[in-house]
Amino acid sequence: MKPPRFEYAAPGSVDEAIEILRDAPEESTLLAGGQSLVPLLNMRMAQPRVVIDLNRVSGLDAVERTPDGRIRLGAMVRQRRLETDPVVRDELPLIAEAARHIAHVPIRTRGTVGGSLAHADPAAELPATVAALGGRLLVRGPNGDRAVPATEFFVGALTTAIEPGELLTAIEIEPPREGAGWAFGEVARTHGAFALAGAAAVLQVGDAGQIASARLALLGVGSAPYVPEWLEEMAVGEAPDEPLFRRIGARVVDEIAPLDDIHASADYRRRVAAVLTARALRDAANRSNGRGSG
Amino acid sequence: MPAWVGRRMPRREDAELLTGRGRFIGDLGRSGMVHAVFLRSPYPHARIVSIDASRALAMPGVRAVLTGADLPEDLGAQPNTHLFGERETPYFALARERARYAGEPVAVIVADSQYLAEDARDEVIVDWEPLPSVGDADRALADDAPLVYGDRDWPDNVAATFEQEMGDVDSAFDEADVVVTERYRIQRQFGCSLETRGVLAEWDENVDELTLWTSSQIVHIARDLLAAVLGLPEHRIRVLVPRIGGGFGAKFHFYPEETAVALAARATGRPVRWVEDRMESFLATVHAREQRVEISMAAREDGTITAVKGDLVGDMGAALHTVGYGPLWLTAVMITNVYEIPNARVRARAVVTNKTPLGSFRGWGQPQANFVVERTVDRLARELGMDRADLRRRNFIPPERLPRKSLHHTLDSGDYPRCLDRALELLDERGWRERQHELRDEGRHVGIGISFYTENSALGPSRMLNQGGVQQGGYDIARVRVEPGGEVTLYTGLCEMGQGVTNALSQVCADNLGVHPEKIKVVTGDTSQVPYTGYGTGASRGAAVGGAAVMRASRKVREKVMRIAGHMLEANPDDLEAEDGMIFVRGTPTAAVTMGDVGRAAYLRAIELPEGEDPGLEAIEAFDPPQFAWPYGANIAVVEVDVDTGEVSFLDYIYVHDCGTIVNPMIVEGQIMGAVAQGIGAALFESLPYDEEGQPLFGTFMEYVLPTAAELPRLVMEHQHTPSPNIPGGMKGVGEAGTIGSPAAVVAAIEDALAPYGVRINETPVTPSAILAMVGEREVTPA
Amino acid sequence: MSPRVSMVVNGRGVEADVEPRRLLADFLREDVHLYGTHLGCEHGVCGACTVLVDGEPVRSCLMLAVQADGGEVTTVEGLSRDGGLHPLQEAFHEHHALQCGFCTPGFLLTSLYLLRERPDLDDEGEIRAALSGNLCRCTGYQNIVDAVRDAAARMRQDSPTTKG
Repeated sequence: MKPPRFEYAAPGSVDEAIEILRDAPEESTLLAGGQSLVPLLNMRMAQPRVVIDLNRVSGLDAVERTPDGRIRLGAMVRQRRLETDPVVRDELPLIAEAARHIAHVPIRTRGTVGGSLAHADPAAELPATVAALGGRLLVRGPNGDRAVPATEFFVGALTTAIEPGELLTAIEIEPPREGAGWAFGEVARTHGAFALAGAAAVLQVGDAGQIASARLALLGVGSAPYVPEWLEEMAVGEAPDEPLFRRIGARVVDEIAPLDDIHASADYRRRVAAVLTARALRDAANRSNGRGSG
Repeated sequence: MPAWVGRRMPRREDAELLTGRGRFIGDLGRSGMVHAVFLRSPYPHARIVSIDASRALAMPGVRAVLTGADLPEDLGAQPNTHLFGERETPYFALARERARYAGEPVAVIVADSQYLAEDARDEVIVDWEPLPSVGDADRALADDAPLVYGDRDWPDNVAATFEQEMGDVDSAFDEADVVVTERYRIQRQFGCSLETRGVLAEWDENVDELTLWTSSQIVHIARDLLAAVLGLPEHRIRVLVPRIGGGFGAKFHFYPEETAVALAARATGRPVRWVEDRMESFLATVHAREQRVEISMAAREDGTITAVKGDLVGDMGAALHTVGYGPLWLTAVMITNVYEIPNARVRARAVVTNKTPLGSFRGWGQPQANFVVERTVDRLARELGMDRADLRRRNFIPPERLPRKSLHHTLDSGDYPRCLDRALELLDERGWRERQHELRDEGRHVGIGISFYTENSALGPSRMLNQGGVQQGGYDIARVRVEPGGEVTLYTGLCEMGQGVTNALSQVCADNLGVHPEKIKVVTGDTSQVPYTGYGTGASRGAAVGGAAVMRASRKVREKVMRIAGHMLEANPDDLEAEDGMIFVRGTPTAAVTMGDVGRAAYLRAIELPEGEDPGLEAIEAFDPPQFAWPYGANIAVVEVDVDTGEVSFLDYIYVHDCGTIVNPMIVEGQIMGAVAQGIGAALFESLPYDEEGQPLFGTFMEYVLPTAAELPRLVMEHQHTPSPNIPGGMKGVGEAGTIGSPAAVVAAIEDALAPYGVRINETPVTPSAILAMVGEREVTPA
Repeated sequence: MSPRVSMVVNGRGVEADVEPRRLLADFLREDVHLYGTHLGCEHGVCGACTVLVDGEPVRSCLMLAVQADGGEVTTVEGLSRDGGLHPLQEAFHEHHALQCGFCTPGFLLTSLYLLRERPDLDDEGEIRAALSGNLCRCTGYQNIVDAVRDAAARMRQDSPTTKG
């Protein structure tokens, strides 16, 4: 289990990386944290001609607030930092919580935000979480920058809207409104293993006790994060109670098409999706406006 | 009184391992060493039409590519040493003409680095003709099944059928008040040591002698089998075993790679090293456990079990490996467990399929036997409306009737009721039966599972093994030498693989020789130095058989020490005592000589020896156990099931057992903790599934799920002590014990937790997905 | 093309020409001859090859040696000081937290980082979760958990200033 030969480039800037990528976009692979790519190299399931290592590219590892109030996470921000960075913890606690479910600390110290999003594993935590938060992904290519909403970014299993020759530079997320609650939950065979299914939710309870806004995304239940677009319509104005959350869960079940694998049946994933949906919405509601234990 | 046996002593090899200085097979180097990788069959069954290695051979740094066609014509097939009457399933170092399972070695590629060897492997072109294949024992038994050995004119896929009976089973069933019948499926699992296997071979062509380092539990057997396969005299092969990163029975086998790497070393004239990579380990290292069992129990209304019968099918994979169908055989003959069941009948069919060969894994066939018997006893209890523990107590062989012959073996000694009762006491002391009711009232699904096991250990009486078909002995031989300076060297054929046997043996030696354990160096893993061991390191025989041999050799040396010391002290040897390296007149510690004084006399100063005493101070003694030993114990698992997600978590785990004399409680506890973890792995996590054709559905640790620290319980453990009546020292052995009863206890606990749903769990592993499928549709309530 | 890499391993500067594809683990083992870093799976699951790079735990099987160029690496061989055992090593020894010892280096380095980050750590569940990225096949983990908890206490004793 040793990697095949490849040419190695360690550009110092994004533009330089794009320049190298331009030469052979189909035969090149970007190396971010390497926690998915290097196993594939070791198994020789990936045999790129060129590996472009982004770890020496400057400017991709910042966590910052944009002038319009979003939080921008550079593509090379390590997953471990999502747990510890005060800005992320304060403004995007859902991301900080989801990050704790990604594998294990020695994976997260290398694994990056951009790597996870661009790899787009259907069982990964960050794609669904960014989708639940309505984030957008900044992609740069030979023709400049473009922003892609998360809901359009994840096209399928291991497939994104990134075109050959482009690379993901950052994501931007608007922090949920003051008082919004959040929750993340998943089930896995063992602690830190790939999720069988998971759910991320953001929910705000209004002053009158009704749901003011709600967003939800599920992982592991299809080829890409599942975001129920009908959720706001169904939930806003309703009381945040168990019957509602169960109805939402039931509707989720009707709309997802998970697959069987050796770890769990499609039916299992469907049923657990309903459970995790209801739990995430309930926990998010409990956290909203300082309700519950927060 | 023994001073060292029974003592909790930290191990001496720890310092080396904790500082990164332990040397495992992958850490060994030889001058000029090159690296081997194997090309393996991607098909479950296929004919090799041709292999073109020309491109690989033309690559820089590539030394050789050997295929089945390059094997010496007179090379022997890989031997099976456990012959119980079966059809032959010959397989070779490299597949000749056809491969019968995905992962079977087809070619070995040797290059200057592992990277280059893997590069070259990608360039070897094999023209395959896929053949019909079968990936499941039930399917293999069907009339129209593809034949795994159709080319050898087998009419079906049954390699062997074993039958045994005692009493009058049919009458007992006819007269029974209650009969229960259950069918169980036990999955494939394997040893999966953290260190994979590996081999380093060096051939000295000047004298035509082979030195082979291998990560193996069977140093002498590996040498002998290699000699047989290669047609070399045994003394021209030296096998060495470095540090082993876990074995668990999977390294109890003699593998094709050991032969192939030796041949590669001869072909290249270089030392050649191969270290199994993790992905190939899932296919190339023997699998274990897989069986389907139908079992029926007959009982009277009062709970007396009158008869049991079992029909077992073992999925042996594509060949009978080193231990044949031994594990399946053991399952069959342990079908009465610790119960006084007068009538029993078993039939076991060893079925071949196009899968990795089945072999040894800690516990051999015993976890399967325990699972099917203990789960069926639970079923019977439910049928009879009896308490599960009461039913067991009623049927235990009572202490006063031990030793007692069961279907095949004679259970030796102990007090089963006392052991189970203590476990139940602990359960109540910890409040679980009460809390279970409270928690159930709160809507939580908490279950308690009980199982009771015995273990076939101290393997074993050589004549019995031979009569049964085993082509190996069961004895052990130890050599103990006091050096001129008074230090002691202890040579054993047993291998240290982390189980702590060298520490345990040095404690035994220390007591019986009268020295401090730290003065004893234990030499293992080198056929040029260590005495022959009959069976290798397995079957929980280290402390019992190895310990007894060490005891004998130590005492023999001590007798001579006393004679010499007596002469030096002008005292009667019978009046002397030896302790901590001092030999003194009992009651007069000032009249003393040291072990060093005696050592010097024995080797350097014949003038100080008694008249007629030979120089030298060592002894070699064998021990061949007259009987097996039978440790036993109770497992009680307390679990909670989340019925919304199917997740299982442990609330408690109680383990009370008796393994005879305990040499080092710390090591015994460590053995049990690790083995229970593997049993829990069997119950909940580990599986090696194949599709119908025999294509593996696993390949990495993403599919083969090992439990982590976060899933496993803390064990509450207690020891009881009934010394073995047949083993000097009374040790019974413990290495495998924890794997045996744990799957049944865990599954019973889950079933108990799910009692409101009335589920019956007859298949492992019990995954969350399986649990929800059993619980059925229910309303979703976020809990 | 074999770029030259240089890094500090256990406080000592090392330099070698390596192929870009060479894994850090192989570099440490074969080029620096520090065999204490063990390869148990080469796909990042088992944790046996865990080392510290610039103070953070990483899988050395999932990192290229060229990526550690200019960095500082700690392996198990760098744990003991002045010939004595580190408190973690002592605790592993006393609690019988190792059997075959193959996974042990990874556990030690994971734990070293863990206790540096969380010197107050005492909760069994938290310790178990934190160790769940390292597989052990021998011990059932119980003694490892006890050793790490005990080592945390010893290290707090040794350097009371790091408390909290």
